Amino acid sequence: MCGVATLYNYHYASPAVDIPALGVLREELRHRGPDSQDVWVSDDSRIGLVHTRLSIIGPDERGRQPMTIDDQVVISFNGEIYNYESLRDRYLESSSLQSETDTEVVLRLYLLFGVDMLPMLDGMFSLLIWDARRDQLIAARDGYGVKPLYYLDNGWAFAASSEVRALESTGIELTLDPAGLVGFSIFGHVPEPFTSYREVRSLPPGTYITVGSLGASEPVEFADISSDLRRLDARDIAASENLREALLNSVRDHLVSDVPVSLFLSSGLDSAALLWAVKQLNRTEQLTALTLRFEEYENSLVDEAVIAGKIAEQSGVRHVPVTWSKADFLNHLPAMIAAMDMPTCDGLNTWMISRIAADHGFKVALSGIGGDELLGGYPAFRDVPRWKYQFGLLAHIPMLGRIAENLSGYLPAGLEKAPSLLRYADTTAGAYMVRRGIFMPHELKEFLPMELVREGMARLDPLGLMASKTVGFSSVESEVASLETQCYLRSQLLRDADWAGMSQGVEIRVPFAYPPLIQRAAPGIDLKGGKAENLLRAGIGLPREVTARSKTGFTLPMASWITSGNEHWSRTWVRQIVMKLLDDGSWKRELELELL
Amino acid sequence: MVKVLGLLSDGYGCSGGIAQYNRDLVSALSEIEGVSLYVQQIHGVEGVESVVPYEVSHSRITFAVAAFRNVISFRPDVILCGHINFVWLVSLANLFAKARVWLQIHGIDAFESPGAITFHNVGKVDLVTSVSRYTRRRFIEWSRLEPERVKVLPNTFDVALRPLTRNDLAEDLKSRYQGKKILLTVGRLDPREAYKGHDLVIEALPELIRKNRDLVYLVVGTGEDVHRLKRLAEDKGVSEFVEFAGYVAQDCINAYLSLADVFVMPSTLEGFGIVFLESMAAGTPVIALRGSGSDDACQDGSLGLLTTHESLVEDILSSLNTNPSKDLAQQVDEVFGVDRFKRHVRRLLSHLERAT
Repeated sequence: MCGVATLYNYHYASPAVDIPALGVLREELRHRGPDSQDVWVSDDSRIGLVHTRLSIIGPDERGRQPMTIDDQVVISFNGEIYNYESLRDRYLESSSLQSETDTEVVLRLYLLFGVDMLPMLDGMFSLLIWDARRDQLIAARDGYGVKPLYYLDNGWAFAASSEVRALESTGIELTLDPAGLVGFSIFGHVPEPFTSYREVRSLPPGTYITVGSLGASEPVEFADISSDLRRLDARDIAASENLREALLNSVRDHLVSDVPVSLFLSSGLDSAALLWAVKQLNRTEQLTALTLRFEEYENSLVDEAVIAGKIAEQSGVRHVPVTWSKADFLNHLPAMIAAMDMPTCDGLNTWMISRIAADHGFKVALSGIGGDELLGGYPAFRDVPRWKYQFGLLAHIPMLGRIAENLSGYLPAGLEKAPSLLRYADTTAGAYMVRRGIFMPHELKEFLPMELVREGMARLDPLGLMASKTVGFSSVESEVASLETQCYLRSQLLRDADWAGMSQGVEIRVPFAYPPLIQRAAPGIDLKGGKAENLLRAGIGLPREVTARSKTGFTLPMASWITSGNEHWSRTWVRQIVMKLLDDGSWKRELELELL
Repeated sequence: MVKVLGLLSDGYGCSGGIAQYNRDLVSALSEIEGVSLYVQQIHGVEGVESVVPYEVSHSRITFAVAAFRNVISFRPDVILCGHINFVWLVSLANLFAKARVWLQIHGIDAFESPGAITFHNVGKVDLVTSVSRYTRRRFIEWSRLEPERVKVLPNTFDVALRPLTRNDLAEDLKSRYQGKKILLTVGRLDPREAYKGHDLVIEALPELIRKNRDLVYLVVGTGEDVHRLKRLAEDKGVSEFVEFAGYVAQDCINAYLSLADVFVMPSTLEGFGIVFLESMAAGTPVIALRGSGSDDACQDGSLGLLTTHESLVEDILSSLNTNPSKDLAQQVDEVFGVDRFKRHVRRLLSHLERAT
């Protein structure tokens, strides 16, 4: 996993690319690829590609990027292609290959098939390919959206990068996007395809764009996660065991590495299921399980390390629990905030466990991210159908919801969102927004200028954005699975895993967020049944301690550490960041001090 | 055969940057093999030499009627909408043709939403070409159109423009400005276009004259705003250093542009500023204010000097004291020359034909 970027001055009136700006881009992405950092510039200086490398597969010098073949095509690639060996064996002659990397396989497949090779790739990736034969740049991103790619086109120049903030260094004028601010205020993350800046967009997952002398094309879809998720509607109990085989295959694929692999092990079901698969594959000797525990939770019911230790011991895997105190957390908080790419209200836990992985010499870690979305693990799978049933009809009564929202100020802390059910619970998207939302739209004017809220809401259209993810599903539960996958997982968890992991030089792999797994397992999943039931019915062996307790995940004593008062910490956090952004455009400086 | 119907505001028989742009665009389209073109304009005069057949309507009503008539009789594949205010009309008339719509935006008219009807109809456009990145950005902000649909097609300039030596100039011009340093602005003096920056130059004159007594600020162009500017010059005590030359015909403009030592137009809201290109084509260095479409005309500072309010005086003085690049005309031709413009127009039409 690496950092990629490009500057392409495609317009005939545009001057050549600014070579020092490419150097700045490279430095901005250095943390993503500590092993090597390189820049390639075309002979006519119209385009430059940047690559910073975290070498995991084929880690020798032959894998350096940007990689070129006969100066015809050049690639800057971020991610992993898990089926690269089978693709290589099927389509390429081994003697023609100059390296052992998946990157070279991707580039040679491009030479053979052009963009038609994109659907062949199983894995997580974002890539930039310069095709000198066609004077065309290709930018593409994996179907799940595990790896990010942000881009802008100002009419003369195209720029893209693995991180939004790197694009600040291109010299292209960027302005705060009201849709990004409003989106962050409602959801705690900036929903794709919006970003912090009006000019910068996130490339939709499973799409590619071409950039030629007229600039960027509209995104063209090559993979559609929605159609994979629609298989959840099959509810074929006879197929429930598919999950077992699909998980084994996925974990096998995700263990492909030329460097040691670790596992983020909590006391939850997802990481335990991954560990079970590793054991089934007889790969426990190659793995180290890492667990983050907190000093004040030690030996309590929410101490992750107690149950994680037992699971690890039963599996025969090496286990490293690391204890953090409040002081450790506060010491590192400025670094965590500095590492954030866009405003977010999550990811601190991932930063900490990634730091532990890096401290123990790991570049690769498996994570259980994605399990809850696919297997019905979140409360939204229960709450959204119930709320639709209970409040859906009331939400049709004109003005009732708005009147109730106007009275929300009189409600005690923790119930601020409840009146919004009377306005939004008539649709799955609406009820889901209330479930996942941090602030409801009507609350935003309390800390954002009215004009900004109006423009942001019009551009973002949060209900429309979410409703577009529920088209074609036949049950509320599968609609929720789609929303959790295509909104929360994609714009929050995977994005946070990217910046938090990459800031430590750690590639976080997510075997549950893997299209081949969904395609195989989805028909047999019963979303109403919940995660534990789905895993057990599939024959995935889980220790009794894990199934017996409710899911805790990586619980943080966040509330008491960074905020005080009755308000939920995430509301305080979001409001502080937004107000800082409006103040001076820089939300990071001294944020942590104000929170404290 | 691709049939293109152009609905333009200005074109043949009109003066100004938009008219020049439209003529260049029509000319480029007419040279594409297999393209049949017909143009209707709301301004201008009939009977002017043109590369395509055209008609002039003179009033909004006759223009609208002509649009329907032409759409029905000509059955265009592409409608080139030459002004954002015509978008509603194009949408309506296009009900009879189902043609692809190409909207051209120029500057200030496209900076802010002209109203709900235009907003709605802009969403139906297949391709927008903007004269500059700045106009494009302002347009995208309010229109919410996918940025990929909005491309940039900058101005080009008259190939006849060239650097002239003092010997090439008419005697009266030569003798009148003998021994003078000439600062020039060319542009309409319309009160609605007071953003062009004549005021800024006049306000800077006292300090400029203190450093250079031989300076003359030559203002070419006509309009109602001339009275205000004359008063401003009087108030600043510099009226003897400002000459309002009035209207100068296009075939004489080369002489004025070449005569000047520096062309300056510190416009704050310029859509592009074709006069910057014309001035450079005539061999005269240009100064523009950073932050509008002028950035494009100056190629971000590579061709022309981009200044700020604070640095205007200093930059004018330093430009007056610097020998201009002998290659300036060639450089501006290499960047904004008509051949590149035509190639780009060809690509745009081909892109529009492929668009779904």
